[in-house]
Amino acid sequence: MKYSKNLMMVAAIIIVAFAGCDSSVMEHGNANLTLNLKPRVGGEALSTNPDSTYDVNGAKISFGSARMYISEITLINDENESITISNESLTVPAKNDSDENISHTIQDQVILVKHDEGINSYDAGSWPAGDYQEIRFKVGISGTTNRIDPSQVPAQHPLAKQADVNNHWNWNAGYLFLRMDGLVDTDDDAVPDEKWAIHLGTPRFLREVSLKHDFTLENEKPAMLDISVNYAEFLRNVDLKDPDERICHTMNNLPVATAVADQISSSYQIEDR
Amino acid sequence: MRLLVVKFICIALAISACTQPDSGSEEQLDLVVPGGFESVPIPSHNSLTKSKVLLGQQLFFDPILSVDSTVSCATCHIPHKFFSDGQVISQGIKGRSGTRNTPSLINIAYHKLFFWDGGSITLEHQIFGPLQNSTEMGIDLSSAIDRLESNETYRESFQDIFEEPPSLRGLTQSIAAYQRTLLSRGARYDSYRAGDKSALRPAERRGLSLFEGKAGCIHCHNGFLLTSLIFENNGLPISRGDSGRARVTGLREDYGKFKIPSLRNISETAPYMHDGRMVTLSEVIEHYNKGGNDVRGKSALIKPLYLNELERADLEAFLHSLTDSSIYAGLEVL
Ligand code: HEC
Ligand code: HEC
Repeated sequence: MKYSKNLMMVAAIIIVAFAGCDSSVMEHGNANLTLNLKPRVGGEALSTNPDSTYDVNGAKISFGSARMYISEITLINDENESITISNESLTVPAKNDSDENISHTIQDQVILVKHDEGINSYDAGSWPAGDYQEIRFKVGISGTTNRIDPSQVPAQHPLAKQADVNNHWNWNAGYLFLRMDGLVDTDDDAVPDEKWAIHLGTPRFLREVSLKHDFTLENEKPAMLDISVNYAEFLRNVDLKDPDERICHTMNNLPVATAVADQISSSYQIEDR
Repeated sequence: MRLLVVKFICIALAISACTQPDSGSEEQLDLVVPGGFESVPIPSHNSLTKSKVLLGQQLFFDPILSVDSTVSCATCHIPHKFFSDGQVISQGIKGRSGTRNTPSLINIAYHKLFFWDGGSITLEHQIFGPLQNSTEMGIDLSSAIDRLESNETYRESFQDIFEEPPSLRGLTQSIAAYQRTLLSRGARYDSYRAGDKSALRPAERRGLSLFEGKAGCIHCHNGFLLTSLIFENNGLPISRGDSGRARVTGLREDYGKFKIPSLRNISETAPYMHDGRMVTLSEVIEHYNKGGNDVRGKSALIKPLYLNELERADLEAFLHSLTDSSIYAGLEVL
């Protein structure tokens, strides 16, 4: 008897759930969106091959790592509504603002961009079909999600502590939002010889990018947005030849951290296909 | 012989296994702590099972986790030194020195933030620090995992416990689980607190009164661990460019603040302070008696105490009564 009562409840819930579906979504369906994030250094494509050198602000540099987090992707549709989607949820230990241990659930589609591995295309999830005029996202990780314990995230998740290239500080809570490093020529022989490293993070340097662009997502038709990411633009106001500006782990070099963070919004551009 | 029997009973008590409903037949450790202690906080995502603790213990003592296989966690956290190392500044791989003194790990399970500046958020997360630090174990995480994968015993243990090949999650969970078993078994101070007034000698009792009264130590060194675990500036000049908590928060008011250390086993864990600058407890008491140094950000609680020679000796005597007669470590009593 108890069992059949439960069954009825479940049936009722299913009916209600279906009835609750927005008919327009049913009609239009969904489309999978891919972000094609093309790494550039000025006009050139970025390569982390040590022989590929670039002139940035009068400094000859090469790249070792080139990574960033992209999160909280929002699309603005033609009716000026902000659309967000949620991913499969992940619950992990975290700290709240008072440093107490809590458990935190993440549903955001977070992307760890690994340009240093030559990977440019990233799944941005399934979105309602329709006409859109803008895409927004954060470069970095916000709020409590930036205070989770990365050691406890399943290895295949982008927020897991990466075994190859560090994506999270060992000496602080929080992810490296933007990580770029390599060598810079300091003795004017056109051969990069000294280390440079800019590892940007912490809530105050979280930045939003918003890109105006008219596009349409059609039901069950995979779509791609081409976005160029200009590393020379990130570095526009940094002099990597200057020993005081060459190394920035955020907290140890707030001026450089600020100079880079302030360039974030202008470093991303929609590329027309 | 009698000692051995007592030891055995204690072990049996400590690991008296209780089976939790949600984890099948896996034996959970039931930790025993002295009266007056809170129960040990065990995070729900890392239950304290016997097999996990044993794996963590093996990893803690295994130099396989350092780049040149010379250094293990226990190189600097030495069991018979209450898991500290007696050095001013410890040496890791290739004799390289870091910048800070090695803290004792006894009762570390109760801490909320780790390192002298609280820069690490959990006991699991903390492990990446020493592993990757070039002055400690200097290994990159993928090599650490590769080494465990190519070791049959570890491969099997990880599979049994975590149902996956060696991973960062399993590595950090097991070492953290082991460290949560590093616990006090009680000092004469605890017997005194529990009502046995004869457990402290007269000088120690006078020292306790000063500690809680005129000397004001209790403002910061309070609770059952004799620390409030917050960050304070006790008036030491900055050394090695180490700005303490400010490095983590970037806040001016955190300049020169460090995590208030527990005073349990303090007589056995010299030298003292985050940079190991003080060799003896009388030097420490001298520092507080003069009201610390005149440094930026010093706590208003640090001011001249005007303790006479006898009072200083009594205070020091009291600090000696905080030493555990023995400690728990893994499934053992040391
Ligand atoms: C070369 C010596 C050395 C080695 C090896 C070492 N440690 Fe430490 N440990 C230290 C020092 C020094 C500190 C204090 C560091 C700081 O505060 O910045 C510390 C701090 C800690 C803390 C935080 C204590 C507190 O009060 O916040 C824990 C936990 C810890 N170590 C565990 C480990 C584990 C686990 C390993 C092995 C994976 C390990 N240590 C390897 C020297 C070492
Ligand atoms: C304002 C808070 C405060 C007060 C009051 C205070 N301490 Fe401390 N104590 C600290 C802090 C913070 C440290 C660590 C400082 C560092 O390493 O830079 C410390 C360190 C110590 C240490 C060294 C511990 C170790 O493991 O290295 C001892 C011993 C000590 N205090 C004893 C005392 C005594 C005895 C008194 C009373 C006379 C006292 N403290 C009063 C905050 C305080």
